[in-house]
Amino acid sequence: MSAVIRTEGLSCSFGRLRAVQDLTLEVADGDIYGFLGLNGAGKTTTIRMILGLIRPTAGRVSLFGLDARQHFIEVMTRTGALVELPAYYPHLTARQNLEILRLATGGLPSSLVTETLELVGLGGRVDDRVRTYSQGMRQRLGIAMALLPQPKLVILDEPTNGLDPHGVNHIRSMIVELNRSKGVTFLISSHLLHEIEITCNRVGIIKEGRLIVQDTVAHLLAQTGGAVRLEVDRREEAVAFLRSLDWVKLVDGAGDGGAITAQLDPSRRAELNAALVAKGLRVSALVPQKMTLEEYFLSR
Amino acid sequence: MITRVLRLTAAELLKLRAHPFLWISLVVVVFFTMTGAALGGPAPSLWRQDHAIAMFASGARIGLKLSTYVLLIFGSMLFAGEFDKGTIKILLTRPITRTDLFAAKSIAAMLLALFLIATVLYTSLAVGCSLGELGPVWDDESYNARRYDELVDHAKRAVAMSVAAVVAAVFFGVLVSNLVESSGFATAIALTAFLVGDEVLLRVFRDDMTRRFFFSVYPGYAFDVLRDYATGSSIAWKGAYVNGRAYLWVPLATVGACVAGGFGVFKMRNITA
Repeated sequence: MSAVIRTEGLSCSFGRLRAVQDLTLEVADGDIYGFLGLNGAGKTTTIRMILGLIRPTAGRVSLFGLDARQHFIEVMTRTGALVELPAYYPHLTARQNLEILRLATGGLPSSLVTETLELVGLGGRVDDRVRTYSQGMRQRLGIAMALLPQPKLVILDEPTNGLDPHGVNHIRSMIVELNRSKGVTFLISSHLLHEIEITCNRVGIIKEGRLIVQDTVAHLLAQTGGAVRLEVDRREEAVAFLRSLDWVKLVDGAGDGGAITAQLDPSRRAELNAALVAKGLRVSALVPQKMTLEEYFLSR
Repeated sequence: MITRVLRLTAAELLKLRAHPFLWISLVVVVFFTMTGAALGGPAPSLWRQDHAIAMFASGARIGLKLSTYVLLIFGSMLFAGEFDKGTIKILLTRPITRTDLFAAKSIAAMLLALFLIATVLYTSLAVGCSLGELGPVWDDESYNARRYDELVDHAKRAVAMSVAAVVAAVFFGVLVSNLVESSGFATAIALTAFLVGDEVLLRVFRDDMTRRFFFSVYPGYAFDVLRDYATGSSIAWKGAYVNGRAYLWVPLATVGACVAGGFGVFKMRNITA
C-alpha cells in the first residue's frame, strides 16, 4: 500500500530542547494508526510539523506522496485535523463555526455543514452558540471540523478527551466506519491505550522525541506475549521451583485462584510443562497470556 | 489565490458581524458622534444659527477619535484572538496559505475601518444638516462672508486628510496582534503604545505640531481647522500638512510598515497555540 504520511529524518528543536529527533514514520493508505507517547514525548510537535504548523529544523514530510511544503494546498484539501484541544469561535453557533471552515476550504456544498454535525451527534444543537456546549460537545465539534472537508486523511490528537463512555464508543465506531466504508486513513494520538488497541491496526511509539517502535498492533503483541498462567498443585513448591529456573524470568505466585504467572520465551513452554511434571507437580492448566498494548507501552 | 482570499474575507466578515463588540462599539461611536455634532455649535453664521459644517466637524472629530480606538482594539484582536482561541491552527490546516489569510484579514480590517469612517461621517453630516444652517459664514476677522461652497471644499479636504490616518490605526493593531498570542495583552500594548506615541510627540513638538509625524494627528487637526472655518475664524491650513501631503504619506507609511512587519512575523512563526 502507498504511504499517506511519510516523514523522513524529521527533527525539531526549540532552543536547546530537542523535541523531535530524526523521526521516520509511515502511515499507509487505509491505516488507523495509533501514535503513542508520554506527555512531552513529541507527539503533538510531530503532528504540527506534519500539518505545516511548525517548521521542522530538519527532515521532510510527504503527504499522499507529495512534498507537504511544496504542495501544501493540494495535500491539505484532502486532510482534516484536530490538534490538541478543539478550537472554535465561542460566540458563534456550531453551524457558523463550520461555515467559516467551509469557506476556508472552498468547493464544499453548504449542506455538508449540517450533515457533518449530525454525523458527530450534534444535530440537535447546530444553532446554539458553542459557549453553551459541554466539554464533550465541544470535542465533537472539533472532530466535526476535522471531518467537514470529507478528507482522505484525518489526524486526530486526543479525539476522545472529555467524552463520556457513550461518546467514546460513538467516535470509535465512526472512525472505524469511515475507515471501512470510505477508506479514510486516520492518525490518532491518544493516551487511552485500550481505545488504540481496539481501534488501530498499526501503532508507533515515540519516546523523548524518537520513534522507538512502529508495527502492526497484532504483530507487536504477538511478539511480546511471553507470559503464561499456570495452575499447579502444591503452589508454594511450584513457585520455588520456577524461581530456581534461570530461563523463567518473572514468577508471580499471587494470582487469582492460586494461579501462577511466569514469564519465559514462548518456545520453551512445553519444556516448562515437562520440567514441572518431572518434578512431580501436577499441571492442570498452562495458558499463554496475551500482553495488552498498555502493558507493552508501560514496559518500554 | 484571489478566490481563496475572497472566500476567507467572507469568513472574516462573518466572524466580525457576529462579534458582540462590533455592535457595542458601533452604538458608542454613533452616540458620541451624534452628541458631539449636536453640541458642536453655537457657531455664528449670517443668521446667527449653528452651522451644519461646524456641527459636522465637531461630530466627525469625536467619532473618528473613538473609531481610532475601536480600530486599534479590533486590529489587536485580529490575529492574537485566533491564537487565544487556538482557531489559528484550524484555519492554517485548511488549503490556504498564510499569505491568503493575512491578505483576507487585512482586507476585512480595511473594510471595517472604511465602514466606521463612513458611519461617523454620515452620522455627523446627518445631525449637522438636520439641526444646522447651510448658508455662508461671516468671517469675524476679515469682515467678509465665507461662501457655502468654499466651506464644502474645506470639509472635503478635512475628510481627505482623515481617512488614511484612521485606516492606519487598524494596521497598527494588526502589527501588535502578530507580536503576542493574547488578544487582551495585544490590545493593552497597542493602546499603550498609541497613547504614549501620541503623548510623547505632543510634548516633544509642543511648539511645532507640523513635526508630529504620527498618523493620529491628522483627523483631529483637519476637523479642528474645519470647525474654525465654519465658525468664522480666519485660520489657514498648515502647508507642512497640506502641500507636503504628510496627512497621506505618514499614515500610508505606517500602514506599509505595519503590514510588512506583521506579515513577516506571521509568515515565519511556528503555530504552537
